[in-house]
Amino acid sequence: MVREFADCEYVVAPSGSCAGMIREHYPRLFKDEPQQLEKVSELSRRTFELTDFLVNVVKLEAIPNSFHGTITYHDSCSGLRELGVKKQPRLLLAKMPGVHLTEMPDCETCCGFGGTFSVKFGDISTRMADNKCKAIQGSRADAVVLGDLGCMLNIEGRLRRTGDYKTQVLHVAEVLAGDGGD
Amino acid sequence: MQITSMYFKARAREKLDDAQLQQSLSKAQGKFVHARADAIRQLENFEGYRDAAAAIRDRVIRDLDLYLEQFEQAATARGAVVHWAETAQDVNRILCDIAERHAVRKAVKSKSMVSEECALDDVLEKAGIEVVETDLGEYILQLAHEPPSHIVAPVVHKSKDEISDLFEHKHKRPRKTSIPELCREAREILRPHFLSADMGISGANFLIAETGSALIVTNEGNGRLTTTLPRVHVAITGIEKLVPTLEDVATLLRLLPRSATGQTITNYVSITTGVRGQEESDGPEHFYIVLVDAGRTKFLGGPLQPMLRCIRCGACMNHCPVYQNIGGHAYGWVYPGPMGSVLTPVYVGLKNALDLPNASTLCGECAVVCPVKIPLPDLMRVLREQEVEQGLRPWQERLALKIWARVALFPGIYSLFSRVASRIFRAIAGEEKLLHYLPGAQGWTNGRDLPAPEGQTFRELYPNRKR
Repeated sequence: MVREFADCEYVVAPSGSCAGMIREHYPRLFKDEPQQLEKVSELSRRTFELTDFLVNVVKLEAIPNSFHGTITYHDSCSGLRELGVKKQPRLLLAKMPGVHLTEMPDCETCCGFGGTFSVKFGDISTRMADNKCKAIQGSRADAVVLGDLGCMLNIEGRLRRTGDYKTQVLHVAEVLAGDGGD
Repeated sequence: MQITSMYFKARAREKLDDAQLQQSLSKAQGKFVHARADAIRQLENFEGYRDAAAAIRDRVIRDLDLYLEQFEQAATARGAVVHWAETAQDVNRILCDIAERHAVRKAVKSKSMVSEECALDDVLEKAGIEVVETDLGEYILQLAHEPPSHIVAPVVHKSKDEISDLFEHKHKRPRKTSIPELCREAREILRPHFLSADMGISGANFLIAETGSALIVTNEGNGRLTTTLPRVHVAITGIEKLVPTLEDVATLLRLLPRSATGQTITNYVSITTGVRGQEESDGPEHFYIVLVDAGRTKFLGGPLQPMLRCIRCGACMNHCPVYQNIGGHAYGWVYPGPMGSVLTPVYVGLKNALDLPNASTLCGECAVVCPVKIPLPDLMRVLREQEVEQGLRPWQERLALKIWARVALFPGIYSLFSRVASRIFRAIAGEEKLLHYLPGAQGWTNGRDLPAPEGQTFRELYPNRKR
C-alpha cells in the first residue's frame, strides 16, 4: 500500500472501514518499526473516506447530478466512530436535486456485520441485521444509502432473505453519481 | 460464581429466542440509553470531565501500591480493620472468620459484584449464616436462585409479571401487580432483617485514600441501612477502586450516575469512615474492609491496564448492540457486555472464555460512551491476538487465516483468486444474483443471502483506469 500509493497526493476509499484501517490502525501495526512507521503515518494522513474527502478536502460546492427518491442513511461504525463521518454524506446528499432524506431510528447502531463476527456469531449477527432492516423498512425509504461495503452485503443479504426485493441498498457513491434523470 | 462463558454461543442462541427476555431488554435499552443521553447533554463540558476522570483513574493505577498503603493507614487510624484477599477463596475465608469472631447468625447485604465473583452468599450459608440480599434486584434474584444479568440493574431480564408470581409464591401473600405494591411488600419483608442482622456486607464504588473511607452510591437506601445498623460492617471491594481524594471522587461522581442510569446524582451517596465514635449514635462497632485482588493485578503493566479505570457504570453494556440482543446471562459470569468481555477472560482464564473477546462487532460505541475512556474495542483486539498467539483458536480458522495471509503477500495470485472466486460465485448465484448457501459460512447463510459480486474485480479495473 505504501509503495503503491507513494506518488498519490491523496488516497480515497469508498469504505469507512478501509479508510479507518489505514488512518487509525496502520500506525499502531508499525509502532515498533520507526522507519516504516514514518511512511505509514504519512500515508494515513493522506487517506480519506470518500464523503469526508469530498466535503473537507475538495470542499465540493455543488453536485452536477440528480437522484430521485426517498432515502435513509445508515451510519457505518468505522466511518462514524473512527473517522467522524456523520454530516459529510448528508451535506452532499442535501445538495442533490430530487433526494429526499428521511432518517430512521438508531441510524448509528451497528448493522451486525463485524467482519468474521458475521460468520462466527451468525445468529446474533443476523438478529442485528434484522433490527437494522426493520428500521430501514419503517422509514419507508426506497433505498438505504451507506458508505461501507461490509454493511451493504449484510443489510442486502438480510433484506433479500426475508423477501424484501424492493428496498434498494446503495453505496453513497452510486447516489452521488446520479440516476440519469433531471 | 460458576463460570459458563464457554457456552456463550449456545446460550446466546437461547436468549435470542426468549420472547419475554427480548421484551424486557428492549424496554430497558430505551430507558438507559435515552436517560444517559439527556443527562450528558445537560452536563457542560462532558468531554473535559471524561479526560479528568480517566487521568484520576490512571494516576491511582500507576501508583496503586502507594495509594493502597495510604488508604490502609487512614482507615486503620479511624478504627477500621483492613484485610487483604489475594483470591476469591481468601475473601470467603476472611468473611467466615469475621462472622465467627462476632458470632454472626444473620447478615444483610447491599449490592456487591465482588461478592458475586466469590459466590460469597453460598459459602456463608454453608457456614450456617442466614444471608439476606437487600438491594431489590438482588433480593428478587436470591428468591429466584438466579445470577444477575446486569451490574447496575441485576434483574433487568425479568418482567414485572414474573416478579409478581415469584413474590406470591415465596412470600405467600396475595399477588401484587403494581410496582409500588411490590416494592412495599419487599420493604415489609426486608425491614425486620435489617433490624435483626448482626453483620452488614457491602461493596464500595470508591475507596478514598486520604480519608480511609468507603463510598457507595445507591438508590434504595438499603445500602445505608446495611452499613450502619448491624454491629459489624464489612466492605468488600477490588483494590482498583481507590481514588486519591474526596475532590477526585466529586469528579467521578458527576460521571458515574449519569453514565449508569442517567441520574444527575443517585438518591444516596454514603461515605463510611471508621467505626462509630463515642459521641456518635450511628454506625457499626466493628468495620472491616476487605481489599480484593482476585485477578486485578494481572492487568497491571500490560496492554490491558486501562481496564482497571473501570468505575462499573454499565454504560458499555447498555449501549452494546450485542448485549442489547442477548442480555447478560449468555456471557456466563459476573460481568457481561464489553467490560465483561475484557474482565472475564483475565479473571477466569482466556481458555474458559474464548468467545467473549470475539463476541463483538467492534462497533466502538462502548468506547464512545465510557466515562473513563477505556478503549474497550482495542482491549478486545489484544485478547483476540492473545488467543491466536496461544494457539487457542480452532484449527480451521487458523488454517484459513494462514492461507489468506500467505496469498495476500502475492498481489498477482490474490488478484487471480479473487477473479476466479467472483466468477464462480456469480455462476452459482444465477439470475437472482444471490447465494443462498455457502459451505463454511453457514453462520452467514443461515439467516442471510450473500449478494454475488458483479462486473470486474477492483484489481481488474485498477490497471486500466490508472493514469
